[in-house]
Amino acid sequence: MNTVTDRPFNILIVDDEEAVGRYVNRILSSAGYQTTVTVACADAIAAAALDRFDLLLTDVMMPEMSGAELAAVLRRAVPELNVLYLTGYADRLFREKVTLGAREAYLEKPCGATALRQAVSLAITGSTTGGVTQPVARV
Amino acid sequence: MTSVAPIDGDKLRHDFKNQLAIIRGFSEILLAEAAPADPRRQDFDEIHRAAGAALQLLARMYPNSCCP
Repeated sequence: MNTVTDRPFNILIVDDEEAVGRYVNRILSSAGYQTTVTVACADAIAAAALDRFDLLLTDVMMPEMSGAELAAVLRRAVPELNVLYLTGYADRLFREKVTLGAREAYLEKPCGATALRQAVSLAITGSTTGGVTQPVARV
Repeated sequence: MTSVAPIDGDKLRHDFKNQLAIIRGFSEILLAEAAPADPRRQDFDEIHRAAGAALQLLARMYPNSCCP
């Protein structure tokens, strides 16, 4: 017998500033998303190898590699990965990427909780009211 | 003679803005979670407003830092 259960959307949060990651995690996990937070890109890559993520939410300026470089690495395995760049300096992002690609968006820091939730929902579902879960058929 | 590493202005601004975002973000959480009658609400609001004012000052100091 098939049953359908809702799986929370899974978000990988990457920011080398730990408190920023903690803030973002607090807002999104309390909204009902499943989250993994890392401060290091190497840890993010390792996490993505073990788990399926619906969204990469990443800072742009990081010491190991930029958010755009991290997204490119993760998309080698998951080309359809949605990416939301959380940046305090948007023109740095656009120096690196002339235009954003499909399934990519950016949100400027600082952002309030409502803007963050809506941007995440939009990035994953295409709607600001898309919900935090998706049905998963189980046999 | 001691050599001094050049200051990366972009990174300084990025990191400073991060700290202000953290202050504003967590004060927003405190405000959202505090009961209406919590006597600390005014203090949380002061922190939130000051962080917002600091961010506006930063934007005025660097008016050309915007996306294309």
